[in-house]
Amino acid sequence: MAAAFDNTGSTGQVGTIPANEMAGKDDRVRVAQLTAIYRQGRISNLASPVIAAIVGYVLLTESAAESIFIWLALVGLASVARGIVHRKFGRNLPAADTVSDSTRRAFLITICLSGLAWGVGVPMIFPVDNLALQAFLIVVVLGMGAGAMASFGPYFPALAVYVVPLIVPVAAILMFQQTTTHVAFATFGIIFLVVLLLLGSTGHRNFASSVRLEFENAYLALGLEHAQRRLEDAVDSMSEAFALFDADDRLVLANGQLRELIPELNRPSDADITYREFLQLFAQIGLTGAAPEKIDSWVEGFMRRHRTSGEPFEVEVADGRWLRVTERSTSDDGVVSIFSDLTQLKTREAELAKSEQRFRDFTEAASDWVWELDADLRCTSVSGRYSEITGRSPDFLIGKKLTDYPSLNRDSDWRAVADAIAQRQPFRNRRITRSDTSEEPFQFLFSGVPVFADDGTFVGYRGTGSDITAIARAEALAGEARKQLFDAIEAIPAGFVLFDEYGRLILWNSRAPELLPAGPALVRTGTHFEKLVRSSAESGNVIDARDDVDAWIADQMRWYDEPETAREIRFSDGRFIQELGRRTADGGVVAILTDITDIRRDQQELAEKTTLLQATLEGMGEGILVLDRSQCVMLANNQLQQLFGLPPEVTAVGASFADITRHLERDGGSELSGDQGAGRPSVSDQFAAGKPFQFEQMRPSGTRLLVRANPLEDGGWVLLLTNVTAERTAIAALEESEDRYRQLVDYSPDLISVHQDGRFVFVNPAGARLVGVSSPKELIGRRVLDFIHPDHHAYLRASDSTVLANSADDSFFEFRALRDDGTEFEVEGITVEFTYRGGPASLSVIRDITLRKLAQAQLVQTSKLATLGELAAGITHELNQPLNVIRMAADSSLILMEEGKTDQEFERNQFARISAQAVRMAKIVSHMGTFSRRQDDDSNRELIDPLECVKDAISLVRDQYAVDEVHIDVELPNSSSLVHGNPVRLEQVILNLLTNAHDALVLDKVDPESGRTFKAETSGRIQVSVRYEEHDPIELESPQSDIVIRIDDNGGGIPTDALDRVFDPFFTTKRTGQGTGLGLAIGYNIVDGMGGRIVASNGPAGARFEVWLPVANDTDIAATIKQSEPSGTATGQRF
Amino acid sequence: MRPFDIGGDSRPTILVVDDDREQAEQIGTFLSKFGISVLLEDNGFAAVNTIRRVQPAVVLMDVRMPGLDGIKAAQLTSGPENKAKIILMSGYADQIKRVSEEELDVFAVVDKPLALRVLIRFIQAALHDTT
Repeated sequence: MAAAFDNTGSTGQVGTIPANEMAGKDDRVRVAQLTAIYRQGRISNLASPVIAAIVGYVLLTESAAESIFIWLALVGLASVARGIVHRKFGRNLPAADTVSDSTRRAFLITICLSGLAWGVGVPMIFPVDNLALQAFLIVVVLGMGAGAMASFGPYFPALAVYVVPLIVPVAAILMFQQTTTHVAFATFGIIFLVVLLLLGSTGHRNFASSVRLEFENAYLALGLEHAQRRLEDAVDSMSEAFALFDADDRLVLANGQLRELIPELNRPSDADITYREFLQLFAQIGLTGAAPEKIDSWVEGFMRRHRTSGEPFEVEVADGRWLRVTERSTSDDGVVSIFSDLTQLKTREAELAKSEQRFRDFTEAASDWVWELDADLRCTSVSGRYSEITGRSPDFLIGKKLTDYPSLNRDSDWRAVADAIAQRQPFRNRRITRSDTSEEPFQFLFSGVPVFADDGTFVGYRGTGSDITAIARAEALAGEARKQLFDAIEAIPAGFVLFDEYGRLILWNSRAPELLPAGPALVRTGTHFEKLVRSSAESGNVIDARDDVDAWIADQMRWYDEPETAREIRFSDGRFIQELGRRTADGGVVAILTDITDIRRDQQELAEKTTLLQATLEGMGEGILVLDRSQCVMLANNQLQQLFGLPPEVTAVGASFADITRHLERDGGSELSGDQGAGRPSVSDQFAAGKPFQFEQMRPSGTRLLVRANPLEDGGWVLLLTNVTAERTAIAALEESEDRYRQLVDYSPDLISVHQDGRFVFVNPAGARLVGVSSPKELIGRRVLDFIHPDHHAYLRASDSTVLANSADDSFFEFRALRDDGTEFEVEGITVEFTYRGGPASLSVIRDITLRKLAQAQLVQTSKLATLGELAAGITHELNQPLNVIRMAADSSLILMEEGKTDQEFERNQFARISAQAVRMAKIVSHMGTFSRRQDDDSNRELIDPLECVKDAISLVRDQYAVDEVHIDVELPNSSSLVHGNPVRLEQVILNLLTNAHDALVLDKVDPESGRTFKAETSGRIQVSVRYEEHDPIELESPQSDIVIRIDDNGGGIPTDALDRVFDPFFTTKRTGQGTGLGLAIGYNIVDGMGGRIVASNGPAGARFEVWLPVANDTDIAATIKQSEPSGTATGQRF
Repeated sequence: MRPFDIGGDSRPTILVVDDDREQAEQIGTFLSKFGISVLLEDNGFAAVNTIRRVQPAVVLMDVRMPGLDGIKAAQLTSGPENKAKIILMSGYADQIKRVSEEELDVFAVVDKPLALRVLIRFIQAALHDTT
């Protein structure tokens, strides 16, 4: 390449350098020249004054000093001027491309001045007389000239302006010396000057040439670099991987694609990679994991192709890519390899091939046959499939015109085809129906285009025909199906909405708009689901969306993702809409909107009813088990669990009946298994029979259960389990009771009768016996009144129609009844009203008390005797005492008389004592006589002094009781009042009361709990007091007072429950044999007969009995006095 | 020994206890005729006191007495320090309270009305009983 340039300085060869790069080249050469002399000139500028100083010093001896100094000053000034210019130039130098003319001129002027200073100075200081110095001076000047040659050589003008003023004056002076030597010097000087100028001129040119060459070189190198960079950019911007190998197969250049392909190439050592190594790297990338042998064989295969032919070849890399390798030799025997990725191309090719095949297949498949018409519209050819499809020979068409098929003219499409052909227009997919045969109409699609020659003349038609009979049929069916689908959708009572895969509304039925809360306006094709939802939420029609619109929308969007889960929308108008959907195969959603308002209402109602039912069931005492058709639990209440002791899970809804049975069998009972061995068919058999049944079972616990089963219409069963234990027990008890009562009635000794309307409707056998008939039947229907003594009719409120007891209470009443033969007998009875066989009736129980009356009379007598017996014991003691004295007195008298120890005085005393004791005994006996007098003689109601009776009674028992440690305190009023009564009987009453008090204190008591006997621990004390009680005069007509005799003991009192009964006959708290139980009863009657009463109560320490007797008033006393017969004898004073 | 020689020359002391003073005096009068020193008491408490203090040879005591009756009084004086022989006198009404002589540790129980002759024999036996 260097050969393109030569040293002549020709610049025309630098064609690769841009023109602007070469502009101003001369300026730059001048700058370089000026720079060169500037650098050298600084030294010469300094050297000039120095040399001048030396010269001046040398010439000082010969020349005028003034001239020398002036000269030196001139030289110095010139140097200063040069230095200034130099400095200015040097400052501008670094960025200088050009040098201004003023600078250059200044440069030249100062150089010229410097030369001139020297040239002018020589004549001034020329040593005219000293030849040696003249020679010295000439040499110096010429040396300066030679030095200038060195300094200003690169730039000729500078040299010229310096040396000419320097040398010419010297030569002129020498010429003026007119010696040969001087002339020779002068001539030499001139020649020297000429030579200098010649050399300077040549140097100037050479320098300029060399500078220019240097520039051109730099430009060339720059251009080369540009070119290289552009080449690399170009290579890098290639889509293909690019590699350049030199003649030695070494990699020189690889572009980015290749480095991407083979990252190993980025190693610093890639400069040394050979083509083979490159291939190996390449193979390693392409054949990752392959065995080394395989890589080698692949590399060898590649190497064989390398440098063999100019044809590109394709290589499939192991990773499936295809690379096209294009190699081309370079001019210097290198190789450029280009690796193009053909993978896409290959794919495209394959696709294209496939597409072409497909297209071929398609066109063949799209049309069944191909036809052609000539310019006369005659059919010239028809493809083979025509006959295959239609079953007709191609001759059917060949040579015929389309207009030869008039039968087709009825078809509007056919007419359109004919029109199109007439106008030489193309027609497409005309649907032709050919029905010229009796077979099914043959339908085909008919398409054609006119064919024109290049010059525009019509040459015919070419087209296709396709059999669409089946398609038409399918379409018809599809249309029908579609219509049916629409009808079906329309027929859905619910709203039907279909969204496509993008959530856009595409289909709905007429019911849908009113069920969408968004309102009908938005129900149109293309409305997006989300828009519908948002509009719904914002419409305010949705209750759930009111609180939080976004939440509801989000929920709806979730539903859209999973439409199979039902959602409920509550409308503000009270409607409930259920949305339920399904995702379609193409990603859309079908939604069904159902108005479930009624269902909800029904459900709510049902829930309420169910709750009610459940509560009712739970509230029932019966166990309930409802089974469905498969005998699984539908319903069971708690009572069932309790009755059977079943755990809740066994009777949970859905549990099997068999499980319950099993559980019960395990429990020990087999109530519902039915296998009871009692001849009863099993429950499962009964279930199979399907008829209501019931049975009773005994649980192991003894509980009786009544199981009632009723079939349900759907095949299920309702089982009612009732705990009838109590009922059964009650029934059994009732039967037993009834039996007992029947027996009681039948065997009762009393008459038991039922009478309605005053006539007997039932009498028991005893009743028949009582009234003296042989059978109760004889009494049925007879009047009750006939059997009651007429004296008692009024008392019993008896009439023809009814017989009622007189008393309001249920107590017995006594009356005289009549037997059938008319004889009277004493009865007591009770009559109560009740309902008999639906009507009012009376039930009478009548008892014959004739015998009892007798017995009672006898008992009263016996009681009297008993009282007498009790008295007798006391009397015996009383009599024994004086009797003992009498006997001892008599005995002692007899003994002493026998012993002779008596005297008259002694005997008289003894007799007196015996007599006194006899009197004592007489008193006792006298009282006895009074007491034993007839006591039930009512006639002796006389006026008596009750205090006397009290005193008498006490005196009778005081001593006797004292022996038993029972003391009697008496508190009597001073004055006495008279009462009506029998003194003996009153005394008997008081005596009886005292006896009871004594017995309570002395006799063993019976502990009611243990039955053991014990004695009273306190000392016995009986308190007898008498007082008067005044009646309130306001209530009674006349003032009246009672005398109250109270007898208290400290024996612990009477049990409360016995207080009411103490006056009942034969009631006693004493031990057997110690009391008859009649004392108080008799006493009560006695006092009652005296118009008074006895009151029993408990005092502070024991029993208290009070005898209340009405005091006789003055009228009674007066009447008694009048009645009494006057008698002269003294009234018998009782002891 | 004569049938009615009750105390002999030793003049023994006999205590008669009866709430009925007539009877007690009758017995006391009779016994004193035989040279016997007779003491009279009309209740059980005094009787026990006298027995312990005087130590009579024989005590004739009525069973039925208010306060301390004859049986209780006998029980209170039945210890070895009392040498008195006790003869209880029991009436018909007292039969229910009658206790066997062995239990009572008394010399005898006699029934009322008393036959004096029988009584004297019991007293004689008691006076001569050295056990």
